[in-house]
Amino acid sequence: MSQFVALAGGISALTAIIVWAMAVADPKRKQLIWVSMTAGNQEIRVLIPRTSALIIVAKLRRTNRQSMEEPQRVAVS
Amino acid sequence: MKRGVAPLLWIFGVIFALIPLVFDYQHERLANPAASWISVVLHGELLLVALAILGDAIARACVSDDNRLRRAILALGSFLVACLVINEAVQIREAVERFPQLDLGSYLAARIASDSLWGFGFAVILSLATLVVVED
Repeated sequence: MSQFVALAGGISALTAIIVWAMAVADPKRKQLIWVSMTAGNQEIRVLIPRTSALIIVAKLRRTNRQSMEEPQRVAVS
Repeated sequence: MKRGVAPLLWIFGVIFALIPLVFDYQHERLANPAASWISVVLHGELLLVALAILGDAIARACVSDDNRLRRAILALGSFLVACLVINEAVQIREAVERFPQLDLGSYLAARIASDSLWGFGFAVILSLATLVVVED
């Protein structure tokens, strides 16, 4: 690989990484969202990717419907 | 447009732009059954497609209503890579014109082909990143 092509690769990778990081960190896009889970007196707040959060919330809601115990409260903000 | 359709359309467009290279390869194979894919990319067609893809990325970054800083970074990155791709294409052209009797079936041919392929790959990565960020 010639040095110019290697330089092009470096610029491509750097640009893609910077822009991806900016997009993920942008609060308007909500790529990362806070999920707070409350069970009894304990509350846990975690910052996770939106897709994972939606999957987790869906699973928890399904579990709550099937469970006879006191339901957990799940809030996504 | 539905989410995820734009990248699919883009990939379809790139594959469509590469179809002439397949015909070129078939043509080369008919003329010389021992011809490899290297002979197809030796004239810089792949770099031409890469340049078109980068031009599309620059235009998308300029006209979108995304974050201004993000658009500027994408446009500048695409422009720099486009300059380097043009430089590579000019170097290939110069080498072929300066040495018309050059044995391009040698080390140089493999190097030009590899550089074309890498240049195309980097252009695809950057353009796809631009598309995903801008259109999302």
